[in-house]
Amino acid sequence: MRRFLQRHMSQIALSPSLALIAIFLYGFIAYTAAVSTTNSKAFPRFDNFVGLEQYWRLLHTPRWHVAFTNMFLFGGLFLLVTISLGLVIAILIDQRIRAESFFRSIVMYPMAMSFVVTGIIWQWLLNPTLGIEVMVHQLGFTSFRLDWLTNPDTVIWALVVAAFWQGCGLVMALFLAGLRGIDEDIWKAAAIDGIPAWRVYVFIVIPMLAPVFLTVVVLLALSIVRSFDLVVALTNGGPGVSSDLPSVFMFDMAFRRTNLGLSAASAVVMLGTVLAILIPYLYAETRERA
Amino acid sequence: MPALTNALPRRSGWLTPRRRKAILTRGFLYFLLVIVAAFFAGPLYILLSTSFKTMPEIQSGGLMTLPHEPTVQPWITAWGEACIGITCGGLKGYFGNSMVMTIPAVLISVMIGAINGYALAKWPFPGARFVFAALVAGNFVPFQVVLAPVAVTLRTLGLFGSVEGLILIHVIYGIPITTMLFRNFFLSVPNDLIKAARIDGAGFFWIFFRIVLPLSPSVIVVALILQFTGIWNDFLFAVSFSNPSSAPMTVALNNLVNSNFGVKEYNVHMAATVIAAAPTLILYILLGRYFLRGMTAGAVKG
Amino acid sequence: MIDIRVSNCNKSYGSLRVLKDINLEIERGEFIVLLGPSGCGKSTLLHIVAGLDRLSSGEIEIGGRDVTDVEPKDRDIAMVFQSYALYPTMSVRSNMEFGLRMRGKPMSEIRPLVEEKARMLHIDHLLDRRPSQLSGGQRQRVAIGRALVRDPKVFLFDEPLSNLDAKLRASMRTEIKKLHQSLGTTAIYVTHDQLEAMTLATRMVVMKAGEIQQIGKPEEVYHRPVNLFVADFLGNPGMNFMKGHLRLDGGRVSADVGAATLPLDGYAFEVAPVAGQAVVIGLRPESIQPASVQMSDGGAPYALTLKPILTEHTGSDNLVVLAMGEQEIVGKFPSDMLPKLGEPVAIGFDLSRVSVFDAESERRI
Ligand SMILES: Nc1ncnc2c1ncn2[C@@H]1O[C@H](COP(=O)(O)OP(=O)(O)O)[C@@H](O)[C@H]1O
Ligand SMILES: [Mg+2]
Repeated sequence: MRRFLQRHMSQIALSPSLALIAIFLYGFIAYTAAVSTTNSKAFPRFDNFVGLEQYWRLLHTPRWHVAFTNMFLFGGLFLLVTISLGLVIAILIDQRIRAESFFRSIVMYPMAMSFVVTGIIWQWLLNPTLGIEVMVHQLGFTSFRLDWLTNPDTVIWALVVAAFWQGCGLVMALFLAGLRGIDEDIWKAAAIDGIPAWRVYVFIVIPMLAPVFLTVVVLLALSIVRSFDLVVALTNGGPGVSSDLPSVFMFDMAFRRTNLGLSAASAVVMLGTVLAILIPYLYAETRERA
Repeated sequence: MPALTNALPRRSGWLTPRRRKAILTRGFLYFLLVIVAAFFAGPLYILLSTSFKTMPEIQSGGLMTLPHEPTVQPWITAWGEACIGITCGGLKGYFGNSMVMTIPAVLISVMIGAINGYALAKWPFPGARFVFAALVAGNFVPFQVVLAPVAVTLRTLGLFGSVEGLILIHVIYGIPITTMLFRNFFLSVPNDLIKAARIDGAGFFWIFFRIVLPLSPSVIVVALILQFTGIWNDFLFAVSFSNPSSAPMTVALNNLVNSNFGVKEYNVHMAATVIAAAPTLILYILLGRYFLRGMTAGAVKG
Repeated sequence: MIDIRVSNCNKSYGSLRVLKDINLEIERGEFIVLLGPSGCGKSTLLHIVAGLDRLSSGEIEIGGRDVTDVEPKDRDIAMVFQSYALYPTMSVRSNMEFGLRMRGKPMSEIRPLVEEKARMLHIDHLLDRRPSQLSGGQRQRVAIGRALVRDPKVFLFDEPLSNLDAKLRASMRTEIKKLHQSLGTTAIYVTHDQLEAMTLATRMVVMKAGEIQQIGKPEEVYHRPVNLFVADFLGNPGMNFMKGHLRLDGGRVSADVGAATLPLDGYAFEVAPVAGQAVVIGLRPESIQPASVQMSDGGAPYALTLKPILTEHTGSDNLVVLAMGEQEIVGKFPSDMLPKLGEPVAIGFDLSRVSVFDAESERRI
């Protein structure tokens, strides 16, 4: 018996975690998938199987359409802004500047902030009667308008700027690490050939950062699918439902509208979206290793 | 690395066109950097300065100005008097909730992750890779997909709306990230060390506590920071499974700021926001290097 | 008396067969060296004897007891690792005490023992340091000291010297040899360095791709390699190989290697030779000398006149590359004999040292 314990201590030590994850992760995913095939309202019930009707209903819910489209709109803009500016800032910081660690820390500290805090800060800054708009007016530009929070057509930009402010530090740090990992001799060779720095960046360095781009895109994409707190704190989905995201929709259906079946269907779609991002990535990763 | 400009030549002398150009590019570089810094630092500055202003001063505009007559009243109100929901005791109770929830959850999940990572990295068995993959896949799952069943489970266990329930949930869903972090670190601990200790007669836990853990202070710090930040800042689980008496800071702050009742006291809101952000911000200031390592290692967690 | 017996031992990692049907018997007090190229499974075999890896099939006995399922700590062995594997967070003293403390020995007995062994290895002044404060050679001594204090039934060494520079390696080699001579404890020593193997081993085991090729005393393996692999693996510069066929003329055997026909009268064939059989004749460089030099058996050498095409001065001797028909062979000349390039010289072949291999099976015949 003692020998058995000694020999299998590793498995024994892992088994509680494995059991918890098996139940709370895989079991619960299956549970949610099962609920999504029922007509559950406030409580999950399994005696009212409706097949894929909830998914069909989801497809015909205008609010879900807004939320799902927003995810791609917000996601696309956020990716574009964060990756391009994150890379530019990393390049700026990589120029052997003075006080480098000072600039780095300033770009990165927002990572320590929760999305709730980030949302509140930007809600304040973008407030048309108190925030940046008023400040610009007082500088004399009285026609300046910054009504992102109140305009359904531009509210997505409020999410983008806040998410960028919070997430840029990480992206910048990843790019900076990538830049620092590039062989110095490439710069020397390019200098000898008389190639201008911007060309070296565009044609040599940035292509070499391809793996970092891939990592960053996957990281940001996962965080986009999951973003919830930022929307709740910054716009609460508004004005109207114009800045709704799937996560907010799902939460609303589950806890406020008591429509668990539909909520479960939306959660499953979210999981599906993550898998759609992840599987090609993991496939590429493993092929690279092999 | 030496990119857009050449470093300024040390030799003093004639301001050649080439040197002029170098100085100009260099100047432009710092100009851009200052704009970047202003964008990122500005909000924190505004947050702090507003939290020391009186309401009349706020309404008179001047977002960027320092407070004319600084007051700590907003801080006192935010901490002890502000009304959140139907109670008016300020944030202090919620700050306490957050601490009581975060500290045990962080310690337990880091401990579990360390043991899991050690078992997977140093005591492999057939199927260990599969177990690792199964545990770590949890890092990618959007937690929305488990929200409803967790609520049902917590109700069944009688833990819904309690701090204990939140601790349990944070510990469980912290397993994937902490396991991954520790497993990847422990791979770099030499196998020979484990083998030597086994021959010397030490067992699984002995080796863990006496040999492996003493080698790992840095990854422990990284894991502690990562988990502290993640759990302190969590909103999804907090808003789903807490009730008004057990709500942590994030939920209380959101309720305070985004409630539609009464007059909005922006200075109080700003003070409250700073209070909510303070613990993780202080960690960042004190341990920035570890912080970044944690964030990049745990970046998949999002 | 048999101290360690490895019977029909197999080890696979997935579909990779790392050890194939290993059988090995080790007498008490022997110093066995496992020799082979990197990746041939030496460490795996050692770890299986130690109990650190489980075998896929087979049995291990130590001291007459079946230990196949016994934990490493209960096998009464001590091991020295290539990386030393000193516990980085413990002092040298604690490193050396650790194993005995885990066995519940009282500190009053451990202390003097550790100090005695430390003095023996000249590390007594380092006892309170951390491993990171030691040089490579000192760490090596601590690693050996840690094994010594345990006073085990068997010592296991896994390439313990390969992280040292050449000079330290030579002196540690001598010290390990002395230690073994004074303690007489059974030891298994893994290395890919043939010099270590030749000097330390009472018997050596040559391995290739998970299989034992030859077991024997160092000089036996060196002079009578059982196949081309072993012949080629040992010796520096390597053995000369000449392709040819056997000739049988009325009971006398010779080998036609193109440029010459070498008489094999004195060769003890293990398998009856066949006329016309394709063979590889192996002869070590030190058996190819100027004809004027005395041969090992004192007899007159078989002599040929060959043209030197390249010479290399190594300090102790001269390596001379000689053209022999289409093939090239290397001879080891005394350092005062440096032939002129291109001028044929009389070369003596010490054919009592020759090895004959079947060209197809590559085995000694
Ligand atoms: N844990 C392992 N998993 C898979 N393959 C292994 C493992 N350990 C060793 N091997 C393989 O077994 C073979 C023999 O390894 P080893 O015994 O370390 O060789 P040596 O010590 O002779 O250099 C190598 O091909 C190695 O890649
Ligand atoms: Mg080896």
